[in-house]
Amino acid sequence: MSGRRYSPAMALVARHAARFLADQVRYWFRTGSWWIPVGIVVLAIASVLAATAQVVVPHTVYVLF
Amino acid sequence: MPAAGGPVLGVSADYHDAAAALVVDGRIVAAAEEERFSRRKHDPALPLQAMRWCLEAAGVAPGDLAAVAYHGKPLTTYERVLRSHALAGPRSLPNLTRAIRSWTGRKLWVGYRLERALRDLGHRCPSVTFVEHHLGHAASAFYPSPYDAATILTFDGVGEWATTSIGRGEGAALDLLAELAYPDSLGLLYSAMTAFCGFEVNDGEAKLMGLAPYGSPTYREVIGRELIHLRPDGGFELGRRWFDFESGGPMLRPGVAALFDGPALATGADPTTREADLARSIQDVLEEAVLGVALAAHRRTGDRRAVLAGGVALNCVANRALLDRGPFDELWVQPASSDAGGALGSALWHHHVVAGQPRVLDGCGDGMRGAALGPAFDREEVRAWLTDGGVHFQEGSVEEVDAATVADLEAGRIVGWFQGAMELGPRALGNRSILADPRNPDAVRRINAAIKRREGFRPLAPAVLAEQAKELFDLDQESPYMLFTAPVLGAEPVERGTLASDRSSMAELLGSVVSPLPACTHVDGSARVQTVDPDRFGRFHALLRAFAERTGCPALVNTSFNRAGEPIVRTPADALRCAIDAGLDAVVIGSARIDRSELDRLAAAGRR
Repeated sequence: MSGRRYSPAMALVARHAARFLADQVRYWFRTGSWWIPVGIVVLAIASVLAATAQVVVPHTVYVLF
Repeated sequence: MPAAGGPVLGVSADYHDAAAALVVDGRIVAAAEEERFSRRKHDPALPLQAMRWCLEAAGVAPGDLAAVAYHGKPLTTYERVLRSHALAGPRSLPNLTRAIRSWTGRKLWVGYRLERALRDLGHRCPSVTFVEHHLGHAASAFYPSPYDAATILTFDGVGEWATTSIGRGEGAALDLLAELAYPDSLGLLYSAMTAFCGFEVNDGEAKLMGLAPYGSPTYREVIGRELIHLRPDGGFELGRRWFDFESGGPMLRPGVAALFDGPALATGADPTTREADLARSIQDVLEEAVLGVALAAHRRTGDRRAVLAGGVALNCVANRALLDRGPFDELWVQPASSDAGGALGSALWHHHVVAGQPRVLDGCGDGMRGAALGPAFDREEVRAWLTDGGVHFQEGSVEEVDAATVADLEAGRIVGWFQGAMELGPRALGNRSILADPRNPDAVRRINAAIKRREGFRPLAPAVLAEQAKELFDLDQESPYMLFTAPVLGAEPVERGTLASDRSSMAELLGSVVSPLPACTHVDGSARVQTVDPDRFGRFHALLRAFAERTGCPALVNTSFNRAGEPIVRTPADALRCAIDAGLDAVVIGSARIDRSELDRLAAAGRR
């Protein structure tokens, strides 16, 4: 049985996504301000959803984006 | 593993004037704006073609790239966008949604996009260093300058938060000492006035500067009272009630109509006396603000020399004012002061500060090599391209080509001049230029109206032999990158009372200035001078020398080889197409001269 293999492109995306989240956490600790990193992550997730899974995204997201 | 001090790729993208630059052992070996490849002026896209060219031109093998430095910190900039829109309230919502789409869809992921692009080019991408925007500008000003130590001044619209910064460089060390933050910005103020006067932001600022000498400082007091408050300590604050940077509409609120005798001029409409007066007024205020910052910087550093970068540093009139009235004896201005220069500044900063490599001054000029850092085409390439394309041309030695070109210019012809490596930055400095005889007053009208098809009030600039510059201009220091104005000796400024009331009469005035160089003297008797020395501009210097020997005039009109709205030409094909479209009298590409009859034949044959 062979395990699922990830392509280099997926690894690249995963690495940058992890770095992005780490940057948000660092920002939170550095500034003490939580709403900016939380807002950025929420908006990023909403953008990904709006672009890839349109059926499950609430109508407000379409309005916003 | 690449050695410390190995190739560093600098990249600027996503705002305007995207560019790539490659630094090897502290030397800038290649740099180019993406617009020259994509043919889209001020192209903000990730500079894939410029990156590819830089890596190929420098012969960087896969795996050899030591570092990638990006000009700016996207996350901090996004934070500023979100905070400023949140504070602006509901009116900013439409623009905020556009901004969020742009940021979350593209700008936030620039590290990923760079790594993927480099992998597509066959290179391993080391981790990307994000260099603070004004630090990138500061590095672009200091490291290539000829000074071992200097005060650094940067002015632009906005980076992450900073809009203006004061710093100091010494050896390889560079520190920013103070900064002013958004929205207090000279760049944004000037851009807001640019838009109010009917010009495009990020393109029309130079036009506003060129319009100023036609006007009177009628609105100077009201601008100084309402739009910007200059503090005694050198800082300044914008009058926020008059500005709106968040709604995505005009940057000046409609209420300013009461201050400026009417609403904003529609974009592209002909400027009138009011716009000229506004241009003059904001120019005066800008100079005062820059002087204030410079004095504050000098109080902190005590330096005799200063270096400048950032979009506002392209204002050569303000640079001259700083030279004349400021606290510094010498100034050096980065020729690619806009964001394009940030690419090379970021790469240099990484090399000297992150990699800890020393800075070595060679004692002969600056590190910009005449800004000739872009693509070049050798004699064989040009010959093969022209021959394959069925273009008839005359070829000769340098002396023969220069003699033919001098004869053309003396006869009043306007010549496209394409030599060596393309320049980085908005100025053509003798490698991608349109040239004319500066003694011919008709040249300015013909170049503006028929060749470049741009506003008739815009002046042309002279290039002069450096060793004879003082015979023609009141200029105490060199100006190799056309970044200082200077009074033309013997020129008579037009009396203010006779200044024009509309654009056509402004154009008439421009060509009728009494001056030894009427084609490139502005109505105030000044010119934006390029001093041409043989070390940095060898080929162009030879042509100027030949022209001077034949005519006694050591200067030529030098304007960029492009037409309004187009980037400067990059390749021989761009040059030939532009020459045909513009109706140039001749074009010289390397050692090949193509005359008007051949250009007409090519035009008739549909070769564009």
